[in-house]
Amino acid sequence: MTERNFRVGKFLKNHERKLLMSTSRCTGCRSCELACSYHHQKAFGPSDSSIRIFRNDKNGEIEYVLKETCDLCPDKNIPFCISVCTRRALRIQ
Amino acid sequence: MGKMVWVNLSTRNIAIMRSSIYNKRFIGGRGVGDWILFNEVKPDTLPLDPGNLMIFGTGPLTGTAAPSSGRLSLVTKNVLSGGIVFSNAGGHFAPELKYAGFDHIIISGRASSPVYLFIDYGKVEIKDASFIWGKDVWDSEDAIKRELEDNRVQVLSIGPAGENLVKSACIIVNKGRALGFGGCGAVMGSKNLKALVVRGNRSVKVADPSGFIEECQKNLRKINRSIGTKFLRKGGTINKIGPLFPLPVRNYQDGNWGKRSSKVTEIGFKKLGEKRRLACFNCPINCSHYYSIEKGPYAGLNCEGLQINAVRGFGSNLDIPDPGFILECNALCNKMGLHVDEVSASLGWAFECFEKKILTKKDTDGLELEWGRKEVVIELIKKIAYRDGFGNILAEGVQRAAQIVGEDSKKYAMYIKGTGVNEGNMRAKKAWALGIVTSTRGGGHLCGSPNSEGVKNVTPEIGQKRYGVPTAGDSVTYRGKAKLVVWFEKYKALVDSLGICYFTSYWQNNLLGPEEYARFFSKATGKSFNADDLFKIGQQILNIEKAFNTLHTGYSRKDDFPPDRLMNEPVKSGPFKGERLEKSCWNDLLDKYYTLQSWDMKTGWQTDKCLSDLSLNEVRVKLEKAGRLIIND
Repeated sequence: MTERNFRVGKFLKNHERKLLMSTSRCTGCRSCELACSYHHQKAFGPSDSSIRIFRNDKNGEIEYVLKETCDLCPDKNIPFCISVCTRRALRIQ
Repeated sequence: MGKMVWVNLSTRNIAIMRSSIYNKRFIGGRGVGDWILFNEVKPDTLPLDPGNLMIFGTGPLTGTAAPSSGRLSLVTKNVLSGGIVFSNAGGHFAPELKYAGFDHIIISGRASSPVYLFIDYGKVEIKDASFIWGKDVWDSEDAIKRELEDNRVQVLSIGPAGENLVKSACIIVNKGRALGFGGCGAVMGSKNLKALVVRGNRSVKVADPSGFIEECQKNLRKINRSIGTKFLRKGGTINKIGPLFPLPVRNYQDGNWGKRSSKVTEIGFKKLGEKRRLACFNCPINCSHYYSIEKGPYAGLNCEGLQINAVRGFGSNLDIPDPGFILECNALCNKMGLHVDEVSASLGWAFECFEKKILTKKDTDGLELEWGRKEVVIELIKKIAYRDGFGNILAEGVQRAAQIVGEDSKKYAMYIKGTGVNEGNMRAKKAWALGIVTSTRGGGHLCGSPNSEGVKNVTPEIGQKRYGVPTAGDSVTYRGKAKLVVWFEKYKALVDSLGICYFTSYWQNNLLGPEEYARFFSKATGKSFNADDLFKIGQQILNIEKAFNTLHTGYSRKDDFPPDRLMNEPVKSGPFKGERLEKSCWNDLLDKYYTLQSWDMKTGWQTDKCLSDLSLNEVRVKLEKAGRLIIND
């Protein structure tokens, strides 16, 4: 797992800890969105999620957006999105 | 609570109602679709008539955190078989539909000019589609996103094939996933409906959130550890292919491609330029892959990958061991909106007719259909999509094409109940073959065919424990295979209705079984269901489909046989040399199968007792009126 593959989420630059994402490892499955929306709302809806994953069908690239609402799940040892990611595409810096 | 929207394209009337009344009885997806179609479409309605319905549906687990919860189901009247067709696609459309507030979309009528349907945060709008009519699937999807100024809407659409009412036309979701079977693209084309577009921002709630999420995590761990997952993650279903793997060759003249198959293995495809692994919505398996080809004759091709059926169809069955070519054909079919299986079955038939001199250059617009001619295959796919010249005959599907060309060509047409066959190793795997032949949607393995035959770790003990069939892992025996197929027919019906992918199930090796699904379902809906309850609903769903086929087509026992070639011509080489589906053994197998289903052995039709036991009184009454119900003594 090389460090340079991991990108800082768009809106999290001022946070002390950062959620990083590897766009090369990610498969675009969006499990993290569901985990995040469950964390916030106890329901499943990507629009309630702090992390959003978008797939570009033209080139297979994955885009990654992180909203300011991300609190890195203070109630859990590791953020819920990280624990459901089977590709280990997410990590905390 | 979920809703369903009924759209009549003739009157432009849109009605929204709650879907719970249907979901309660038949779960969702395929089950609900079957029930609506059975009740609303009459036997004299033709598949391409405005009276035919298209029922797009999601299941109770779609859009939730249950593994692989992104499946979309479609039920409509089958253009090829005249019976029912249910089709199922992955991608990201189905969860988005749930997030827009809908479980099902039911389309009827015919628009006076090309339209597309836009479902936007619960609002449903019929919009003009003249600006994309005639465009291929990929361009249409891009154009719609440009018009709506939103790159993130989810789109399913038809291509030129659907518009031209080609009988092998399909519907493409997210540019690369197909609702393929039964010519459903032509049904959509007949309604002048180019696309469905959906955008949503709601969330899906479950009855017991903490219990549900716990179940999700437990099963996610199970999936991660499974042999089946490791296998599929590596290369999807094409990972199966190796030098000894049986593949149909030259329109099923043989069932073993020998060393040539080693050119189209997972490694062969990877070398082409696999850019990344891809997953459908919330799928831990990621069996798909994205290719960007930079070098060679197919440079510039950017597309999602394929499954083993495309390798069979355009590789072994046309005798072309070239991964780049197979990917190109698959991408072309996706762009044109053509179903890989039906197209490749038609091409296999045409190439063999050319070999046997039944067809000549005069019939084929000057094209020389010699085995291995790649450019001819590409040309013919385009001709089929636009119904151009000889393509107009192939566009009718393999059965009708053989009827048009005439007597001698018929024995080379590989079809079951009007549907072209593109299947592997039917001669050796008896349950696999039985599932394909008795499939309620025409021929096809995604109904009752088990995937356990020939799998090493399905030992007699595991076979007994899972399915009650110790021979589940044996390939060539007929013993126990009818029971195995009956088990899988019910199982698949319930998986399709739940809205999750079959690849997370027992069907692939060592994943989730009926008990797991029952727990998911109970925690999502808040009602207590066990595996037996779900199996009963699965059986009901299958019987609704069977009754639809009996009423609409009269299919009976005589239609439950494989193509003659598979019964008479054995595999010529390889590990399954000598295997074929002997007629007497097949008859015994059918007897057992009908007995287990409580159907009549002589006709293959349903009995009074079977439908009463399943509490399908409405179905029983309709069959009785039509004189197609067998009353037990």
